[in-house]
Amino acid sequence: MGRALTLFRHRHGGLAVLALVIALLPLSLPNRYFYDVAILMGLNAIVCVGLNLLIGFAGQISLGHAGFFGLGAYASAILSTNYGWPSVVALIAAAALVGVLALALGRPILRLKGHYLAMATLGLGIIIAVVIATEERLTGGPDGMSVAPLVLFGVALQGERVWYWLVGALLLGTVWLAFNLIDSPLGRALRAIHGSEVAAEAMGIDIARAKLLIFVVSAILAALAGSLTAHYAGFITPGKVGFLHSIELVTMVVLGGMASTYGAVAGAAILTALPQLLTVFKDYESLVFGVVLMATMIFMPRGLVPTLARLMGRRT
Amino acid sequence: MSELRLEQVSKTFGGVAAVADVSFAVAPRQIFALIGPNGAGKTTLFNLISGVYRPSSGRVFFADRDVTGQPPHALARFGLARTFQTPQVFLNMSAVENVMVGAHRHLKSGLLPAITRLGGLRAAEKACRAEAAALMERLGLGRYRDAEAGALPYGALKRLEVARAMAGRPRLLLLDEPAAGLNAAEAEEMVGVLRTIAESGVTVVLIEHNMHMVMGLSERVLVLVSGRVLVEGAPAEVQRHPEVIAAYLGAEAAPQPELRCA
Repeated sequence: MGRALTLFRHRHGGLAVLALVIALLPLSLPNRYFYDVAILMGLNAIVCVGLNLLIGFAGQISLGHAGFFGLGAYASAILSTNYGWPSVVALIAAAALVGVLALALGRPILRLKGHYLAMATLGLGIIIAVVIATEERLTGGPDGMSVAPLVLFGVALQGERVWYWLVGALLLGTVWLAFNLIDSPLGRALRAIHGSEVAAEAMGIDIARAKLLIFVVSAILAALAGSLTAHYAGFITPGKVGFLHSIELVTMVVLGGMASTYGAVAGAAILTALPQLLTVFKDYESLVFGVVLMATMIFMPRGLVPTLARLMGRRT
Repeated sequence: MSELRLEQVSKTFGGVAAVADVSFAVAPRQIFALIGPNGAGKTTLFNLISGVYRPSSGRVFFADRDVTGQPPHALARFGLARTFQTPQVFLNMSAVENVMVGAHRHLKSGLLPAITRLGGLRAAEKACRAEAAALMERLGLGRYRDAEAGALPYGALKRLEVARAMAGRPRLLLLDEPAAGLNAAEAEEMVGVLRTIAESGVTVVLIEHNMHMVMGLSERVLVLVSGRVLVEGAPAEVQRHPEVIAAYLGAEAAPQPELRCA
């Protein structure tokens, strides 16, 4: 265990461990249902790695990322299904659209701090959810809409096995990009902003620009994961767009450990699997998330992965 | 030619003048001290120079360029660096990373090189880390290189701030009480550090209460009282000024270099 953690300290070592886990996991997946859970874990992990860059590293809260997730999902669904765009083009266009929207909205919103930022992003997420639920002609309203499959190089991607490897590869890529980012001048600037805005600015960091940049990056990752989720499931409903899903995403980041990329992956994996394991509590899913969030804040404020690493006497 | 020049700079907060009508100039490579009792407006003046506050009136020139109203990050890019009265260290990062942030203005901070590690980023990062480590070594922080900044003792934090400010290779360095909270030996070390910095060609403006340090180190001293300039001159002149003696030591006392004012 200690040796595994030493590996994690090295950027490529940690990546190799994650790759190994992704490669070996199918050996323990007995049927399609388990593949399905694993795919959803991976898709949520992609969102959480991005969200963690914003919340954990730059210290800027967002309670509206399900909005970007949903917007990516619906934009991709509408463009490919209603307008017949090739699904890959629709997916990229959806991500670009969300990126532009985040750029435009992030400018005023990110001037806010703390509770005000939380409220503003919360409002943003709710507005997106309301628009999607009411634009019935385009989105099917509360009933949702079916989504065309993802076609890659002329082959429609169907079946859990194919999707498992696609999502696994994308997650690995996302984690790699996140690690590169964190260990770059931009990443240090983001962490410096979290540490002390006044000192960061005095060191020549354009705070507004850095915050906006990471807000856009995290929104695009959420949008991509949203599009993929829609194409994978073949169906999308406004449930994944709402406020509760935003809270779920933040809970995953907090549980896994703020400012820990592997923590974000672990948090997403655990909280995606948990409701599946506790099907008895299906009606109380939000309650379970609430309890997890509260318990983490009280007993393990650093989150799972940093706390474990500390117990092992190592840093991540 | 002056490195820093203030022309009738004033700052009012809700009708209260924190700094009123302050003018002075600092020549290149000078060590210039700002002294005065607590609440005299020294730190406010630093915040006005470094762009944290915008002057209510008056102008600030940096290397003969009018920089009034420029944001702090723009001023940092021109080569202004500063430290803070209470250390504003990035506690969530390692000590060497703190210093590397100081070099931000020389690094590519775009998104694409960051995520791909292309465009010479690897080499630049390696050089930056080596330079930061060397700087820490020079300031006696070598053993803290990879420690969490939050785990450093107070005296080391003060020096870490100086190292971080120096990492940007500034032309003008503002130091807000670099010796505050340091014991006599650490303060003496700091004097040595500041001397080497000044000798390397950096202009230094410092706020300091340690009179021994101020008088021994600086070439010019400006005394600020209630936001106004009381007197400006060479250390010996300032020390003889009757109002300085009165303000610092009480009317009848003679100046004692060891004395720290409150």
